[in-house]
Amino acid sequence: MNTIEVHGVKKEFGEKLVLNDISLVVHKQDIYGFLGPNGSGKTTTLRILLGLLQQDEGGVRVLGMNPVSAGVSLRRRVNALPESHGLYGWMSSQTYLKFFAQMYGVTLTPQNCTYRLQQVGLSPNDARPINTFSRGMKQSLGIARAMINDPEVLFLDEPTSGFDPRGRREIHDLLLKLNQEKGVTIVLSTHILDDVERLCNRIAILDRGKVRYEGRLALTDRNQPSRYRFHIQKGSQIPSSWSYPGISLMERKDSWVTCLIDGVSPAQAIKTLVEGGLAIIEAEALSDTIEDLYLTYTTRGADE
Amino acid sequence: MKLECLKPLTLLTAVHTFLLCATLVFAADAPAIKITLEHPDQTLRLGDTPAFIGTVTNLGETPLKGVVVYLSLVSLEPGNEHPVDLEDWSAEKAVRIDLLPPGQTSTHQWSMRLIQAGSFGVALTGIGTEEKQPTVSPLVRFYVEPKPGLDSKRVLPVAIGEPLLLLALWGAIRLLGGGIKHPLRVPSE
Amino acid sequence: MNSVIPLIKKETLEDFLTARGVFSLIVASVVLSAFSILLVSNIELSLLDNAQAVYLMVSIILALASLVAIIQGSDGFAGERDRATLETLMLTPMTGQGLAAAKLIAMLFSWLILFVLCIPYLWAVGSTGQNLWAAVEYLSLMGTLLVLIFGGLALTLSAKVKSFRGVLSIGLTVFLFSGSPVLLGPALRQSAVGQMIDLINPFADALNTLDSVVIDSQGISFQVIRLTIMICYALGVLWVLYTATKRVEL
Repeated sequence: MNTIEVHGVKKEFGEKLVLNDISLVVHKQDIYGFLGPNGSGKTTTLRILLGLLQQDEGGVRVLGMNPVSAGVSLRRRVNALPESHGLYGWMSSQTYLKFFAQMYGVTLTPQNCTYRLQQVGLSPNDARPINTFSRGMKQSLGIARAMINDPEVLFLDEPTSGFDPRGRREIHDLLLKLNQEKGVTIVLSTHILDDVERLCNRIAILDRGKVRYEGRLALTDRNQPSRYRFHIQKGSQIPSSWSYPGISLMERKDSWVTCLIDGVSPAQAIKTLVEGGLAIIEAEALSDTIEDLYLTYTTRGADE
Repeated sequence: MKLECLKPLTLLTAVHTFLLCATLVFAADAPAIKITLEHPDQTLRLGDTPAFIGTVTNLGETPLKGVVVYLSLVSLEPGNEHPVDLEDWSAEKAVRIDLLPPGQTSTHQWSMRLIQAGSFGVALTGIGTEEKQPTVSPLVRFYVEPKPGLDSKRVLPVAIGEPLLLLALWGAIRLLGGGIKHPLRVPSE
Repeated sequence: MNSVIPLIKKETLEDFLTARGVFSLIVASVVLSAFSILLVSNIELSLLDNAQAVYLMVSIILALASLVAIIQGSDGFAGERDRATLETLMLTPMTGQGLAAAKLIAMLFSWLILFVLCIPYLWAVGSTGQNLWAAVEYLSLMGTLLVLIFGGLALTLSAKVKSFRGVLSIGLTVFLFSGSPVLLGPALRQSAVGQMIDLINPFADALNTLDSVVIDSQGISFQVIRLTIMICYALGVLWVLYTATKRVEL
């Protein structure tokens, strides 16, 4: 069973179609990155996954449960850091954590509280009200709150905003530790490509309410790029149905196609495509940075 | 001689006849209703709600139908005599007696809340539908003793003290309690 | 249910550690103090007997309690939405109805604090008069019912209307409509239409009950109809709140 499954989700706010046929899958222990410009539908998607909004069409399952109908049962097992952190300015950090521990039915000993605050870089002896904290400190406290019930799935919306580079690195290490040692599945919505590059093993790029790209992030070896552009003979046909194992069609034009190769060598890919009827005249390895992907799929969408 | 003796006799008869007629006329105009009102058997103080008991008796030979009886109150303070509006004094002012057989007495009670101190007079008035004029009970005079009102020695300490106490309490809670320390009092790390 | 108690504690603490709650108590205290001072210093008002003074003071307390309930109810969901704290609350394993229940209980607790605050004032103006303790008993009952009615109504609107100001405007308008018939002259209120409006208006029911108890010294049997109407209102509002908070959206 996949941890998260989204099929054909649509959501409108008034006359504005915010999500248009979103489909994606998050496997257990993935660190899944959601990228996209402002207004692309990332936050709306996260809220639907958390049951805070109901989709107009389509199906959603998180840990095998419908987020809306399962509601309380699901929220015991997941947690989230929304973009707005949701802090009570008059509370101290300890009071805040204790309050949410009680809301989740978690027993929080003083030692445990101290550990959780130190884990995110906060001082357990700081009794100041939260409204005196810096932005980074507020974000840290929000992360501590999001982990208070030791969730199986953690949704984070811009988790490293407000942090300096050292702070960001510490949060990365914390999230990687959660993922590797405790098996927490993490869904991360962010603009910061460095976060994605360092943390995520799979990503989805959203733009204008659609998933423009979804897949594994094979960037561990920059010497072996995974995206290729195959230039084809003018006038030759591109197969209408595309079914080549290990070769995903990402983009198509009259004179070339861009493919993502996964698990096959470039030579093998070329041979498969030629045998399949594609008249390849040139193969071009494309740079594989996240930035390239992001710019490719948000400045101009994949052909429909 | 007989004619001269007849003159005093005629005059006497005429007088008797006249008197008889007059009696009959007056008898016809005599009220069929008798109304009484009693002073409550207690000392009356401001704020009390005494009951004034009134009776209506049918003195006539025919039943009385639809007799309306109501209370009237006047202030008898010397130099300031005036009628008093009963609206704030009594829950029920007028009573209607559907049927009062001859010789029967109907008794009713008017509770009145004494909302002012001073000298007053109250009377009960009854109006029978067949009667030419209303029947009024004798005026019952009563005196309402004043009662001390609000005591400023009790009111002022509460009125002044409570807001101040509340402000002081809130200030103390903010500075000392609730796990929240004033930023200036946080020890340096 | 486990999550309801910490939320009630948080709401109550928030009332006393932030300006929001204490401000309303201080305002209530100042209003009652001003009225008390007027009672002893103003010539016309000083002629009032204790029962009348107690009745007027209780009327003011009920109006204050209703206003505070409307403000707190309006803040319930809409205020949390404006402060961006609603989302984190909704992420907890608590239903919308649980959230509403916790906030309503916290409102009743605030009313309890206000009620305790008002007792010294009532004692000061009414201890030498009649029916003081009956006034206190009925004030607690009427106040509780009015807080449930107006506070519950405001909380329901707050769950549906996105803005605190919007909810507060509607709530205050409803309260003004409830309070204004009371200002009609006695002659108008005695008319058939006036009596009907009085009977179906929960605020007028509360005031008329206290008038009956404090001034006319009438017992519970005289209050049954009005109490029944108020209880029906309270139950109705609670049911509407329950259905409105089945799904709370951001």
